[in-house]
Amino acid sequence: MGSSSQLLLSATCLSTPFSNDGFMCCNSNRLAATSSLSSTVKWQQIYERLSSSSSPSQSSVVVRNSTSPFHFLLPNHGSNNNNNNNDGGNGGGGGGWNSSWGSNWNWGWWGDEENALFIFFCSHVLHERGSETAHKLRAVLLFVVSVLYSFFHFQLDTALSKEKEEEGVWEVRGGKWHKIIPDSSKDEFVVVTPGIGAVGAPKSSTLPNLWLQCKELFLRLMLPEGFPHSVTSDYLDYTLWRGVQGVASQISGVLATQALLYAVGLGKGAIPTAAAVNWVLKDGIGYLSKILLSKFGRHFDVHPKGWRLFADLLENAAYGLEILTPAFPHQFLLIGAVAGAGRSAAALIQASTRSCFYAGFAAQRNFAEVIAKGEAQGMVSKSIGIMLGIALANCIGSSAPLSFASFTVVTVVHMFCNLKSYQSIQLRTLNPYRASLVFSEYLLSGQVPSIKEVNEEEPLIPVVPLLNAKPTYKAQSAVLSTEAKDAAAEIERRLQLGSKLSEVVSSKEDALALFDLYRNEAYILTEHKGRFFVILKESCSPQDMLKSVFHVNYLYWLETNAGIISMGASDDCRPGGRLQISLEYVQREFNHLKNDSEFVGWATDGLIARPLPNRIRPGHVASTPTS
Amino acid sequence: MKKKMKEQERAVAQGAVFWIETSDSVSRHYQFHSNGDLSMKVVDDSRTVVHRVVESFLNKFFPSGYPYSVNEGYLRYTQFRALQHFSSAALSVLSTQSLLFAAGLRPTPAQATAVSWVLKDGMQHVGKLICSNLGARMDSEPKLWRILADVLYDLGTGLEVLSPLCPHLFLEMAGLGNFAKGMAVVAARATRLPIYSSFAKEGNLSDLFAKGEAISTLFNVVGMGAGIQLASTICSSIQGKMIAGPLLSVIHVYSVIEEMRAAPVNTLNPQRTAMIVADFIKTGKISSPADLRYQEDLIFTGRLIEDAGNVKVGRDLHKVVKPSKLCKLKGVFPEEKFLLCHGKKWTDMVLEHDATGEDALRGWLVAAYAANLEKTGHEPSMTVLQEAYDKMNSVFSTFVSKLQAKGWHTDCFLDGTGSRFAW
Repeated sequence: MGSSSQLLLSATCLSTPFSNDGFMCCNSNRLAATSSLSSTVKWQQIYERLSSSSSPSQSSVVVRNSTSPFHFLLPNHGSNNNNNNNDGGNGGGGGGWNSSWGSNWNWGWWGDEENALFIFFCSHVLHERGSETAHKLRAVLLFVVSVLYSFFHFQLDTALSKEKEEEGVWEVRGGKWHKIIPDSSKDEFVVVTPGIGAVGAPKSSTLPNLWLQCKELFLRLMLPEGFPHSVTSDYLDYTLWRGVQGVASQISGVLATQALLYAVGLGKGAIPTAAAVNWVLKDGIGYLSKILLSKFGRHFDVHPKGWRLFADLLENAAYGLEILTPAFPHQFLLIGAVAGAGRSAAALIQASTRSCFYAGFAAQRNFAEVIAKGEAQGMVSKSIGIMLGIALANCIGSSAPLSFASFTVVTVVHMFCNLKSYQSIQLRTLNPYRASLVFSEYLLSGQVPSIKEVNEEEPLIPVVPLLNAKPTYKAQSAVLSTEAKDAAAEIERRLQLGSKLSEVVSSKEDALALFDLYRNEAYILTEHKGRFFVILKESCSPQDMLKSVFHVNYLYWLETNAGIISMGASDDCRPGGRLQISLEYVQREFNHLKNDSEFVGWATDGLIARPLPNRIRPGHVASTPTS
Repeated sequence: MKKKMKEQERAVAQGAVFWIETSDSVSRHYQFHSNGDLSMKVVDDSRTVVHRVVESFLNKFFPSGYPYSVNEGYLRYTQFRALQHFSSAALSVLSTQSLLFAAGLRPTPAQATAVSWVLKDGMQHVGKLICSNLGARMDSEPKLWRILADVLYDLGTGLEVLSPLCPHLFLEMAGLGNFAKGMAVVAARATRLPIYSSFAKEGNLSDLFAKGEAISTLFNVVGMGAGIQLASTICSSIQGKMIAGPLLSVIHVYSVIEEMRAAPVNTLNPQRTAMIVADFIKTGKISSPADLRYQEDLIFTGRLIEDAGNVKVGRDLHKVVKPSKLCKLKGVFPEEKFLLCHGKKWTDMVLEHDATGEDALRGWLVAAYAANLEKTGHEPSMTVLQEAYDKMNSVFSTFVSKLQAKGWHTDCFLDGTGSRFAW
């Protein structure tokens, strides 16, 4: 009965209202550094085992990086139109893609005898050592690890798709390839159905066949159609980390709900009241915090990763508060309310930033597909998480220290996965920081840095420099010079977009000179008290903002490398003045730079920024008459 | 206002320096006086205090930089979205009440209730899983799927509302209802991004999302309040619900349809491509996404458009072409990534698997020109096709650049689950 009541509660948490988007719960961050020893050790074991167990035929797997368990080799992208996962392997036969495919997918810990043995061995060892409760805790942890492991394995196998060799006409529907062969007797095409043309697949063994079909179904449900070509290369890494963190966050959720229930003295049972209390606290106050927080929407666009991490922290803090409630039952209402507000604020940020990430993943504008699959993935990891959470909650009972300890462990796992998942995302859009980094590197070396390098360089939360701890293995980032990094950080600090002209300009001459210099541009850039002010005209588009950031970069470059400093706006605007030189350069070079950046893969259609909401319409004689 | 205009004109005549600054929808007129002082006047703020307060409140619910930062149609979309959430939330209160009548208030053992509740929620997951498989179709027709999602959601709610009528079938009814709801939730969430991304002008997707959340939250609360009112008054009996339920549901679906019609989706799917081509051939002008949004048929998306050459796209290659003809067809335009197969009633176009939106546009234009030539008396033959092809080539580069200037994304052609071919 106990478990069913918790299940019920968590299930009701799941069935959020139609509008409520925050379905994946997440948390975050540098706790990862202190990630519990035992789990790292296990990862390592698993990792070693994996690399040794790859059979000779799998020698194409290249594991580049031993510090990151989720590294993989993507299938060769542009080499052949036909290199597709679904028809990997069988090069000989006429279209036996289905049968051959399975041999490459050793999915899961229950599918593979060796692996199952290994997991069993681990659990056995743990069993002998631990006390009763600790054992249960570890079992849960072990399960998480095994999920990780199976994901990992899954991923390695993804790399094993081979190129197809044979010729023929194919019908492509979504991600599925069907070979069609001409039937000369009737002058029509016949579709080769999988299974008929399969070479060497004994049709009699139905059980493996069924298994293959289940796996195929599972993958079709979980991955976007046309994977890996229909999404960007960072999708898989992100997804896998999301999966694991979903499990962890659901466990926290169940623990927290249970703690809440104990705090109000409900214990087990008494469902309707508990649900009502839960609803009032979680949603009622949450609504308010959602509305208040939506004001920051533009911030989410500019720093999606940082805000997402913040949301995860907030959510975990809320869970932690809920877990603490049994210790302070008289403060139940206050703590519950704060936690509820935190959780729905986190849900709002998560929902908003998720759209940003997904939009980046959809390489072929297949937004809906990517989201729908994300929903399915979230559901699976959530279900696993809820089951584990209920099991754990039953083991712990009402013991506060134990529940807090397990909560800490789960939170660490959760935060670590979150951190990894955000680090794996590569944003292709340009915000002021990324734009400055790209542009200043371009000015310094003449080369546009790649998306990956810039994303690795960008701090997740710019305000908290502590979080920007760089992994030590970064030898390849020599492309980005330290000057460029400093410049980007400096420019981001000194730049203000959308300033008020009236605050910047003090004399008539200055204003006149600026209007005159920038009469053909949609922005006005000037320097005032050491800061770069970009004043936006009414017609200013994101593209113009991007241009203005390039301008700022060049100005900064002039300042540091050529030693030209500001002499006041009207002087700078004269021919030969600082602003005039730089504007000329920018007008000449901007399109060139844009093409170069586009070539590397940057989205140069505009700057993602949060300009202040001020726009001006100059009324100077030289410009168009005011209407 | 006139006086102000005159002042401005005089100022221009004197060569004075002035500008107008707009911040938070208040315009201010700045001018330098001859003595070097900067003067400021608030321009054209004749709004009443109430109006101003309301506006600043509303600003919380609009993306920052509105209206510059969003595309046309956003306001209308938002208005109907609010109405939609209101009616939907009111409806959900009614259905919950019904469910409690049917299950919770029955004198059954608590465990059975819990189990059936869990099963009911489990059905939602099954629905989600099934719907997640249809993502590609949603990309192609986000509006249709969004409307379908809300119809499904109302169906699910309807089943829940009706559940007290047959308490012995509680599990079946509630399960089926939740199954429909699960599908609806996935479809609604998945289609939101394609639609929002058509509004986002400055890459402010997250902002749009956050503001959308705020609006729907607000109206959900209001709707829930209204629902509770209804539930405790006229809808306490099942008869009352039978009247209020369909009414709310009609409002709900109507607002979704209006919402969808307001959204200027700017990707190329078969219907929109056909409409662009038809407009281009008929009038020579290029339609913007906002022009097309009210002409789109949201329910019958596969309709043939005669002006665009009655092209059908995405049919299976083996149904379209005979092997003997394939080489010939491929030989006509060996460079191109489409096959055109002229039929009696329509022209089939099959795209190569890596064809972009531009390839689809090229094929479509050729087909449309060929159809036009045939109408004027030419026999359908290779020469007609060649002529159409030359005509297309002569206009294509300007055509595409104009399309892109109007905001269309020509890099992808979203044909959903349409079939393509590969060599």
